[in-house]
Amino acid sequence: MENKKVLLNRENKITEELQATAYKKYKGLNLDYIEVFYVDYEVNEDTGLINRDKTTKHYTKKQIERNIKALKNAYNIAKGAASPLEIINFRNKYQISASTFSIILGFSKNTISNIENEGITSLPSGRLIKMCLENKNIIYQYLQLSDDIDKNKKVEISRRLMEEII
Amino acid sequence: MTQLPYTSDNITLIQDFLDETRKRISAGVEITFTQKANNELEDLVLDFDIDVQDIEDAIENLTPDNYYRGIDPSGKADFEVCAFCTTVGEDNVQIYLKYGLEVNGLQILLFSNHVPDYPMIHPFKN
Repeated sequence: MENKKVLLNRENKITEELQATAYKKYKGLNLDYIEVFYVDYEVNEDTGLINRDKTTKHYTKKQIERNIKALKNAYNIAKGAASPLEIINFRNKYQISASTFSIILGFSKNTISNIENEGITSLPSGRLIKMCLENKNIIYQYLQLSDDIDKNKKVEISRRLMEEII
Repeated sequence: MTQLPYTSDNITLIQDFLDETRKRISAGVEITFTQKANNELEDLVLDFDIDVQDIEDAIENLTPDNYYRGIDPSGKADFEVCAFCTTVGEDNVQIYLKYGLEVNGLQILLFSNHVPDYPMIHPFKN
């Protein structure tokens, strides 16, 4: 069953959190991401009067924080970073856990998991990951150089990575 | 929007508006953004790495010196709306900030937060 978030509008009536795809053009980039919001009566910003005939999108502080994360993620992907979905698909294909993939790339254990759940927050990291996803040889080399992954695991992951190449 | 003349009564009026804002924020009221304010914040995020907390901090740090336009003296509105000019973020980006306080409620509704299109005067400064 879908668990819908609810909040209170200006008249203290329960209203649902809604979501929609937001589109933004920024310096020649077309960004799109899922934004969350709720609707309430429009307020005229010059007169301060509520227009009870028209509702518009409104955003709580928490919704804005989530939307900004999604926007930055979309921006970083448009600038060449890997998307969370690309990372997940890659890991699933080669059966590498998020924590292991983090260690192979030289991040802290939870970095890849955080990126997959919350989006890319750093363009340099996102681009590094993208380059690695597009060139398995780099991941293979990093795997061999990793001190924190045991030998058997290295062999297994190496075999899966190199299967297609051979 | 009306620009109030520089008088001690009007300075008190703006100070009361700012005090009420701080009182609401300290009581846990969170700032609500209109769609326009949300779109403008997106630009501040991408251009200057400003976030929502920077905007809230800027609002909490306003003084009558930052006053630009408002408040409607008729007292008939659902929101008291006032505009300010201030700076945000580590780079002290100058922004135009316009928000309203709900008269018969507690909402703090942000209408505008963007880099000014033209040099802004500070009628209550000096």
